[in-house]
Amino acid sequence: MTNNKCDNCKNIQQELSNLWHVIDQSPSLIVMTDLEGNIEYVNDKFTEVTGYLKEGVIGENPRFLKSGEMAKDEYKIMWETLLDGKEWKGRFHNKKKNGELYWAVASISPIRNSDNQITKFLAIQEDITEFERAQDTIDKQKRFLEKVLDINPNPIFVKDAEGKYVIANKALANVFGVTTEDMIGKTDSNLISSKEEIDNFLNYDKDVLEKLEERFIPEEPVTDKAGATRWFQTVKVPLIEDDGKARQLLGVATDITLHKKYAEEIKAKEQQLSLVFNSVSDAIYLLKVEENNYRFVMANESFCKFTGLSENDVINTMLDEIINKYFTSSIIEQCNTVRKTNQRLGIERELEIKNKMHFLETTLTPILDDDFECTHILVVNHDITMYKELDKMKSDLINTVSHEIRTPLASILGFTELMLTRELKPEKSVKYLSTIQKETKRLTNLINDFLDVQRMESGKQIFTMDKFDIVYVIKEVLELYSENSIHKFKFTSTNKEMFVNGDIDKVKQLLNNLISNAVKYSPEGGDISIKACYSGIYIRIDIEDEGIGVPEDVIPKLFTKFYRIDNSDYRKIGGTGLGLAICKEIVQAHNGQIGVEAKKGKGSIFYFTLPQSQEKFDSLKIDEEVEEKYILIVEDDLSLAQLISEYIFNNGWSYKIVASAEEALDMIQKCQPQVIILDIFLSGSMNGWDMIDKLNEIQNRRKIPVVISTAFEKTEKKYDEQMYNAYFVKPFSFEKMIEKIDDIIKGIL
Amino acid sequence: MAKVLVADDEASLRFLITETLEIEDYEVIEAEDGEQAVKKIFDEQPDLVLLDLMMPKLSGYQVIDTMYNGNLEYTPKVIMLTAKGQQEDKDKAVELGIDYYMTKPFSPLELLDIVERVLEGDD
Repeated sequence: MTNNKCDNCKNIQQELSNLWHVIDQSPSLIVMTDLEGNIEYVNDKFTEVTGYLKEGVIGENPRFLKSGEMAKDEYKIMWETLLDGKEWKGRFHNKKKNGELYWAVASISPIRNSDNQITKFLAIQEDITEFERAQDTIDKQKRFLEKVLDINPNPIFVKDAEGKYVIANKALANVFGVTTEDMIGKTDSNLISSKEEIDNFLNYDKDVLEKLEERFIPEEPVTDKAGATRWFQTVKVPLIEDDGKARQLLGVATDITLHKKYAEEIKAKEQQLSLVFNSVSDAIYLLKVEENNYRFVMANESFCKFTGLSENDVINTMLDEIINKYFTSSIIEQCNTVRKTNQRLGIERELEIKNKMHFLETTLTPILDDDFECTHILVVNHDITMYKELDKMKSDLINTVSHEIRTPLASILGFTELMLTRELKPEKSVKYLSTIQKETKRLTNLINDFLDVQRMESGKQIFTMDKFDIVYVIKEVLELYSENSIHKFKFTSTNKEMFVNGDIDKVKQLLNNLISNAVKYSPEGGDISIKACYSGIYIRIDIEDEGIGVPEDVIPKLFTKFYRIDNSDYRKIGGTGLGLAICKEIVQAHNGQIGVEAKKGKGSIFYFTLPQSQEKFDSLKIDEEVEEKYILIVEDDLSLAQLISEYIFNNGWSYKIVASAEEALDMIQKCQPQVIILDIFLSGSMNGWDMIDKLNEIQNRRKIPVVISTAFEKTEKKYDEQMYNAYFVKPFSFEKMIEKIDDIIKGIL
Repeated sequence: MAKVLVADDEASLRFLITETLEIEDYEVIEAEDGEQAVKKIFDEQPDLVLLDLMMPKLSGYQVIDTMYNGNLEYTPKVIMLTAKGQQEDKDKAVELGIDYYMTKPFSPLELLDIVERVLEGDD
């Protein structure tokens, strides 16, 4: 029993010994105190950590461990908790024997005896200095990272799956005008007002988190705190965790607003430059110098227009390919020279393009790099073909003038000399004198032509516009020519009087020039027919001859000053090359048109138009002598009346136009027309129906057929079909009206 | 008396030259263009041609060319009468081998004098 007891005691003793051993070996610091707090026991770990030996601390109060770093309250709370019989947990910042500080988490609990009375306190401490140190390092690194994030000019952020900001740096916070702290937990919708922008961000976020793929967003707009749009280039990366899922994403953005602005500015500048480049009339291109050749880098519109090539044909093509394919030129040699000398080269050259010679003033400018190597050559072609042509025209003019002046002068001086030095019979004197007079007139005309064209071109010529009858004027002009026997003059006009608005003297000059040309250029004689007809608001005059005509290819140049057909057939017929230029100036001053319809050998038709007199109905006075058979057009719309009249005229009938019923009745009283074409709305006090009524009252002879021409449908029942023979509603077919009138005249209707 | 061909497209000038030549009783024939001039040179064999430079159909130069290159059995004297007063025209005319070159306007009496000298072969 005793043995057993002892055995039992032994066992307990053994177990206790084991326990002490465990306690001693424990990785935690274990301290046991009495109720006063005096140390009764410390384990080995205590000694290991604090440096105090067991023997030295037993009976001592553990306050020697205090570092003074901890708040006094902490201890107070601790004691209160312990005396209350509860377990206290907390942290100590204690001091080792060697003065080093260490961190420990401690758990102190009261130990009670079998009477449940607190007898001791057991403190178990864990040295967490290493952990704290690590924590500290982490904190430092964290602060460092935050610093790095905050000084980074690029917005950097981490968002969670709900779109809340977990991290946001200063650069990003600044965009929204908030602090970085404010950003945390916020979503884009809390920060941005534009729904479009928010959706854009969220879409990308979602995409990144779902697909677990990095996304690069080349540019996206954000409206900043000031309301300005800023542009960002952003990379969003999913933060994939160990389970393969991403709950957060990292975003790094670059503010490209300025970059974009500059890019736009550069683009705008480029467009401006391109506009300038393409607006200049000079053909310009830029060549890149390559080993043995030159490559087109740029070519402006003028160059393309000039060569007939498109930009695509040219750009990146080698110079020799273009040259050999499209035109002949020595430009390659000149480029070689420029490349060799690095000197600008100006040359005047002829270039054949599409079978036409062009005179060009070409400047080749080398573009050098930093090593003075010629990398590009800028070629500017100034087309001086026109100057050359003008120059030639001028010298041609001098020759012409020289010839034209010397010829009459030769006669004048020659005959004068003969008369001065010789006795002459009177009839010979007269002959000489009349030649002198004729040649003097010719000289005078030449000088007048010169002055005229000069005055008109400089805009100094004053045109006195007035209403006059062109028919009368043509007749007057023709009287001057009727003596010439080899030409037969014919003149027809739509009306007996046709009024135009113009400068009567200038129009006479115009007619004279054209008629005398017709005479001059039909040396074999023939008919010269002049026609006057209406053409819209204009009156068109045609002068047709059966002479040598005008070659078609010279027609475009015909009205150019000093131009004369380079052919002896035409040379034979003297002229200054100014006549038609003067004609053109006169017609243009009247806002008319001039032209020629011609075929060589078959004569030519020169025509011009002059505006009709605006006083429309004054111009259509009723002739006193009325022809026996005619069709009366009662119409206040002048252009329509003229249109109808042309059809009537072409059908071989005569006609008269009046604008009012009063005039019409007056006319009918004088001479009864075959047919009346009657408009219903007229300019006078009577309308068409009134006129028919009136006509029926006074009609004493046969009833005159009436053709109604009106804009109105037949609605007024009052006027039955007895009152007219035909009814045409505008717009109608003139041919049908003519057919109807023909039937009426032939008595079918 | 010597036969003189007056080739000029200007009627008044032909009249003037004819009148002038008739003072000295030359036999005058006229041509009003280059073609006529060539024809008359071949047909009528004038001793002297007073030739205008700028004429229809054939110019004075062309007339000379045709004359010298044609099968003409003789060579008439040529005085060129032209309103073209430029040196290059004169040079060209002289190159062609004509006998005299006169610029319009001219003195009829001087022309008469030159005609006489040219006909005498004293130029």
